[in-house]
Amino acid sequence: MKILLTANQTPFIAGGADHHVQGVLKALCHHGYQVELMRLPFHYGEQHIIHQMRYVEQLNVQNPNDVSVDRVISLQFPAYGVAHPEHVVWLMHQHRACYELFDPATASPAQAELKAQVEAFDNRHLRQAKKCFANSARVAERLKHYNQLNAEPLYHPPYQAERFTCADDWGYIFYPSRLEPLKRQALLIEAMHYTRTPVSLLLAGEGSQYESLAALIEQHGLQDRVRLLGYCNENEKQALYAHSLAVAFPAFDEDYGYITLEAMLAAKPVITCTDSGGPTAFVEPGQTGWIVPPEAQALADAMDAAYANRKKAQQWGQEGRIHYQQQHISWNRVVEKLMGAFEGKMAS
Amino acid sequence: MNNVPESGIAELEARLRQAAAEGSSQPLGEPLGDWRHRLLKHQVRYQHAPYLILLNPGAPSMIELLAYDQDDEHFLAALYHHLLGREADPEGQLYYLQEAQQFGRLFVLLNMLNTEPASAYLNEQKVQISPRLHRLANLHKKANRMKWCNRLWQKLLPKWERCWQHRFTHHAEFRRAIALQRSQAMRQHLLIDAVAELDQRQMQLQQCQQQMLTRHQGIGQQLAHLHRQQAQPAGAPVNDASSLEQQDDAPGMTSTINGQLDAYYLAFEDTFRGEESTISAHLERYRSVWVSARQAGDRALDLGCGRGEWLRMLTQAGYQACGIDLNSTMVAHCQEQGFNVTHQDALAALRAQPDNSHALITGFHIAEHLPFSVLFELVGEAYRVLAPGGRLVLETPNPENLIVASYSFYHDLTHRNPLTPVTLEFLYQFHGYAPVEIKRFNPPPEETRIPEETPTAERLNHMLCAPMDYAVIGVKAPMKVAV
Repeated sequence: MKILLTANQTPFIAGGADHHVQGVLKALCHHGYQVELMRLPFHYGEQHIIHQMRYVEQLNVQNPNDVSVDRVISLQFPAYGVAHPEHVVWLMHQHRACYELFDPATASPAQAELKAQVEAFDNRHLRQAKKCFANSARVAERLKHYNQLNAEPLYHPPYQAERFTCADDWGYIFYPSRLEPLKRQALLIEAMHYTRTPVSLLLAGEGSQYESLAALIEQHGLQDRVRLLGYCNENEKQALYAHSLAVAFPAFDEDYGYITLEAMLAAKPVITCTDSGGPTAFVEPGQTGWIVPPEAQALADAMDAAYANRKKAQQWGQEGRIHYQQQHISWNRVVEKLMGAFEGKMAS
Repeated sequence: MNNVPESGIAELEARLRQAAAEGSSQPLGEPLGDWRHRLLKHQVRYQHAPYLILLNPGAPSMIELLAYDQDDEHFLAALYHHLLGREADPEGQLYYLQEAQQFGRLFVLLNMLNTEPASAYLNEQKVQISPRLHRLANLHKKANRMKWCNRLWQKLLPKWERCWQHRFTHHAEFRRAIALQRSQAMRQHLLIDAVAELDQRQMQLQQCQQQMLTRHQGIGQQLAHLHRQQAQPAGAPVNDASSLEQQDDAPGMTSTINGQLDAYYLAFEDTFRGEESTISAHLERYRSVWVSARQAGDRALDLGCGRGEWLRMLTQAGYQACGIDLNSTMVAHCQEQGFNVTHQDALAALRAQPDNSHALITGFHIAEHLPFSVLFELVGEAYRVLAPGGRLVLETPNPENLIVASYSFYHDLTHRNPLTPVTLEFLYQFHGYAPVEIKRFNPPPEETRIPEETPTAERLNHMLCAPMDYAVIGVKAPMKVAV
């Protein structure tokens, strides 16, 4: 059976999306399907995006070069605009600039125009698909909210899930993420200012906010308790997870958020915020972590609570690992679900 | 756990980087498969302490806590585990054991239930205690407050407990049996999950293996193709099928080539050594040798007998002559003429002969075909085989003649090195032959001589017109007759 897998390509920008795309490809191959990955170049900018939407709609994916393609699985915008009678979408996320990140107050006319076009594009093509899965509960929720479309959340494991391990906690909170405003490291640093226990904070990752975060640490005199680690390789990341007391993930409106799952795999409790999106679907407050309002004081309290009762933090971490296991998140299940969707239009 | 002092965040970072570099932490295992975690937990909990098992872990009953199906120690250990979440300390154990013996188990249970740590632990773990047990505990508490009441209570309680003890024991046994059975069922369920998952993984591994095998085969084919291309001369068309056939037929080819080589040698002998009759004329010159050797016996062996000219002469002279040759065509040719000839290697043939058994051993033009080690052994073996007074004759081209040494010796491509008469003579002497005689034959035709009488011409003639063959004849010393 010939399956065409469509996704985007953004040269030299690697990230979670790449792991996701390669993961699906590998899993389908493992299950004996004949799969080709078709990556279409993606470029930001209103004009580019409109052009890319039109291009995708005209693509022949049913019979390219007289080779008949049996099924198509699409993962990203705008690649899901291809037309095929046997088409299943597993939506990583929509074009966020036109939805939850769209602000009518500051949007330019071009952006407003794009928003209308993207909405129409999504409504048209996502409805035509035989079945629509979402990368996470949050992505499904947005689809329902903005496009009145039903999508079933389908989870996949993080990169090298089997390598995560738990070791003695060394009394610090860990937050690995790109240093960008939406990830809200600044909020966490501010929270450190309010903590009453000697808990420390390690921030791994690079990004545009490095300078300003360093300044903020200095401003609050937290040099002895907060550290920007910069880039960390996979081994370092594993060790940092393994020895942490708890993992913080206070980002704004995440789609899925590997960090939650990675923390659970390392048997660490998670501190996240009510508006963090994806993570809130996995964290059970009072059992596997804390879901607090996105405020410095609330985050400080959670970090203090973890430090003050480290035995409890450990227990919650173990609960988290069990919770992860109960979700049955695996590539096998992903393939089962995706391929099952072709068998008939299932009620979602 | 928390045995790490926090001595500065910089040091913490350094330690983490170190831990990462060492990779000391072991993975927790595959995240797949909830059964793994639960099965292990299950195993740890009940395998070592079956007395801890409860029908409902969140709500232990009074009968289960009294544990009359167990001895006092196990009752107490279980009580500590269920009510305090820890193991008994020696002091506490001693105290409660005495109390149990004096006032009964129920008394101990109610006492412990009323302690501060027990209620804290039960609250934290959300363990439910039955209302009946609660009421009893409250009553126990109240009775403790008044001295006279306490005394009465201390008497009544063990009595009441003893009345029911029989029933308590049965109930406890019954409940534990059911709990164990449930636990077994659960374990079975987990094991089925485990087997199913292992089976699936096994299938995946098989797929991986299959893929690797296919890849491996592909690489092998590619390699074979490259080898074939390399074996072909440059510019020649590569024909996979034919070259493969050639490889397959290699043994057959060798035998065909050997047959052709034998035929070549027969023709070569005809051309370069002369007709059988010419050779016979040459061999006639050995008459004195075979006549004198005949005194040592009548058996003769010719090594490399060729077309059998020598065998014929010996037979006529009354010898029982045998021959060996490595050329099957020659062997067949001799056998057709009725000679006793076998296809054999010279050295092997000699080794097979008994000591002192032959009167005459000959080898015409074989010595120059042999590596020195073989020649050395051949001369030695012949000495052993010869009867006293018997003779070994080896004839070979004479390199004293420059034309032979530098030219005609190489007509026969199976020749190795020219052998000088001196060398061969020394070899005989070394092995004990005495006397050793050298005979030179076949001088070139007279007209090839330089017709001059000058010293230069004489010298040149000596080198160019020396006899073209020679033979070394050695005698095995006759046994000395004691006088």
